[in-house]
Amino acid sequence: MGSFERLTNDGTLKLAPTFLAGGSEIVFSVHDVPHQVSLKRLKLSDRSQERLFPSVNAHQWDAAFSADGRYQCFAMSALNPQMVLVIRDTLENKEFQFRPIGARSTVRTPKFTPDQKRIVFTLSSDGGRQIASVNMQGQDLRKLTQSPFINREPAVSPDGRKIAFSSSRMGNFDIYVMDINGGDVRRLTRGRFRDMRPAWSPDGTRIAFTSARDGNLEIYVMQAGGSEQQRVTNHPERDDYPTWHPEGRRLVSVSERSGRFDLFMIDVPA
Amino acid sequence: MIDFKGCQVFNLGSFRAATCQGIGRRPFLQIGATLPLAYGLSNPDRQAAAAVPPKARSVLLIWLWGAPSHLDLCDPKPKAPVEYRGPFSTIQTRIPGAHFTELLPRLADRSDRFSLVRTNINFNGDHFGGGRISLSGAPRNGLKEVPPNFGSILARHRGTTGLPGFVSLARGLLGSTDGSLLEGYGGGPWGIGFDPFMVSCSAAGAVEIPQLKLLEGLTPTRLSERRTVLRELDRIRRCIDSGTIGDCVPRQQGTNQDRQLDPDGLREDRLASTDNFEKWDSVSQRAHELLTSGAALNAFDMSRESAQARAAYGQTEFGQSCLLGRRLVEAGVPYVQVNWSRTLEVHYPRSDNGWDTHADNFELLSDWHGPLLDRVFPTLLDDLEQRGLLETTLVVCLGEFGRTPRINSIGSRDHWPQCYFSIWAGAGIKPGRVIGESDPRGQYPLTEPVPPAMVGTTILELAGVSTEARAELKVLEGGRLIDGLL
Repeated sequence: MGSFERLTNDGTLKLAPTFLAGGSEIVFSVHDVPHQVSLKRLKLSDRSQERLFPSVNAHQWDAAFSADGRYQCFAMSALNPQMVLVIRDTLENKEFQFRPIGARSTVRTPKFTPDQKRIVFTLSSDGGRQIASVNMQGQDLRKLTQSPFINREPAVSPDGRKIAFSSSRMGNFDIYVMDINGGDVRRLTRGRFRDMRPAWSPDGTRIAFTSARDGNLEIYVMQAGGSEQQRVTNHPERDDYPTWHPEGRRLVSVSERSGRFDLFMIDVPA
Repeated sequence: MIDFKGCQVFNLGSFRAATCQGIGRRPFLQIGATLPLAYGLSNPDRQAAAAVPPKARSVLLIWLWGAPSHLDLCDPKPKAPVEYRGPFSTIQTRIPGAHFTELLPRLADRSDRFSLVRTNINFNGDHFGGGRISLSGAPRNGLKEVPPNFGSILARHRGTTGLPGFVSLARGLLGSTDGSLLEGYGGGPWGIGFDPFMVSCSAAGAVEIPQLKLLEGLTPTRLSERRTVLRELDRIRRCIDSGTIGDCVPRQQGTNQDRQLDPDGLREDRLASTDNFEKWDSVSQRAHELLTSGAALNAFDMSRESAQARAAYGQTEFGQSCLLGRRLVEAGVPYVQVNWSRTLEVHYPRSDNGWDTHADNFELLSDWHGPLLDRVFPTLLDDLEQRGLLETTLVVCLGEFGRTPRINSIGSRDHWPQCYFSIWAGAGIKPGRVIGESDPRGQYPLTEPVPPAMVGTTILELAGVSTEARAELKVLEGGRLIDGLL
């Protein structure tokens, strides 16, 4: 195992970190007040934290940022109740929303395509739990999977040609990869227990993911084709939500240590 | 002293200072909270009960508000059709023939310490109706009045001990994000004197006792200073005497929405109709009794807990509340209900992640609810056992019902009262057993169903509320035990 650097020390329940600003900042969801999950920004230079959207009172999950930083998106709780996709164009100062059809429908885990033309996400609406995408204005919905199983957590490859995702189509959650338009689905992992949250390395050669195969949640890395699956963390408590640093040699994780949830930077074996 | 149907209650004062601003002495005390400590002071059964100690000195009810999915936790159906079974693999438990899903590995490893009922049923598929029945054993067709909660019954039976008889750990009365409150959560026809003593515990382990908020600045640690308590009580008495009570109590912060969601505000409305002004001296004395009781102070003071224990339960509100629950039963509180959340919903704006997973059930259980339950509940069992408390503490874990075995159109699960699970451990429970069997899809019991009245009867019987005592109190009359657990 490589080095394991603690980035936060408040212990609050954190989820889904993502890098921005070239790797100098991390945005994550945090449940630090009883009635709200909100997004926070961590500056790595001084470890300061601030709420990303202090005026938003709804739950905020799963932030994503376009490569050039122009676009932001996240899932937000709304009445009805739903989880809607909020898309913000910081250059034009515009906001768009994609509201899935039907009460209780949700959008989670959005990711921008590298060409910044579409947003791929997990859609839960009539027709089950599918991978879908919309354009940058939250329109032109396209369902990329159509199966009676649970499909979740899409991750778009850096070249924009593939989507890795987690699916229960063979009984339990495994990692799959498909073309950007939903074709040519291939299975990458075959564990008995959950394999989930795939994350492409910046050079597109490897995929990090979380697996319960060794009894609790740990982070693994494999080649993009599914070979050389290698365990990166090893601790009796949870290690989860792997996210690659833009330079490609380290991951950030949400790790539970002594019952506290913090962000850690982890070296990834070459 | 006020008499509520033969039971003494008293006022300590409410922390809802906003309601108190600009009003006089009498209205203020009219809305003073009625601290439910003086249960059943004239209960003839108590002496007999004391002669034969009950198997359960205390009851610790872990309430999974919002209704957890039985198929995705403790009663998986891996051979069911894909539209039923869900995406989680199963793992072996220590109970022959029983499997859990992969979400609960630690609990499966501790399964020789508890028994599992797989055939619980409820008569109402609505959270509030089902919750009311679950916590009171109300009959299928309902009653004009909601019966008292199991905790209220036990508290009344045990009588006053200097400690609250029934403590509920949550940030307020249970309900939903629209402000609705769960009935069946208190004394019912016996009055608010038998409602639970509400205590909240934050993720950081900060304990808050709303009924004591009148005494501004008093923390459990500071309560150990008797002179501070008396000084505060004297100060409030002077304020009342001088008609300036509004200056003595903290001003309420928050928005209208906060107030709408804050159940204590609704509680005050109910209390406002009660004319219980008169006996400040008695109030002062009662408050003094509670606040200076060594047992109470120690129990509520989480700073006395080791860092190791705090870490074992985890830095979450549910985890620290379970630790506080253990402290309370250790101190001798008869009935403690630890609540997973105050609101039943998840994903709704201002919800605090209850178990009502109509959407994203599998993600939420995988990412949030499952790991948290699997960390905290086994830790609680370990802790109770290591301290020698499991033998005298009945631990029951359940929600108001289960969730639909058939996955819904948006890939999740809805309400299902026809079959669900409960976990039982401790005092008088034979561990390592499975009680009942559900059908291959988890839809209906194949064996005798276990309705809430059987749950309540079993809890109360183990806690020493005998058939005769229940008949005398006119609660759960004719109730049956879950024989397989005993």
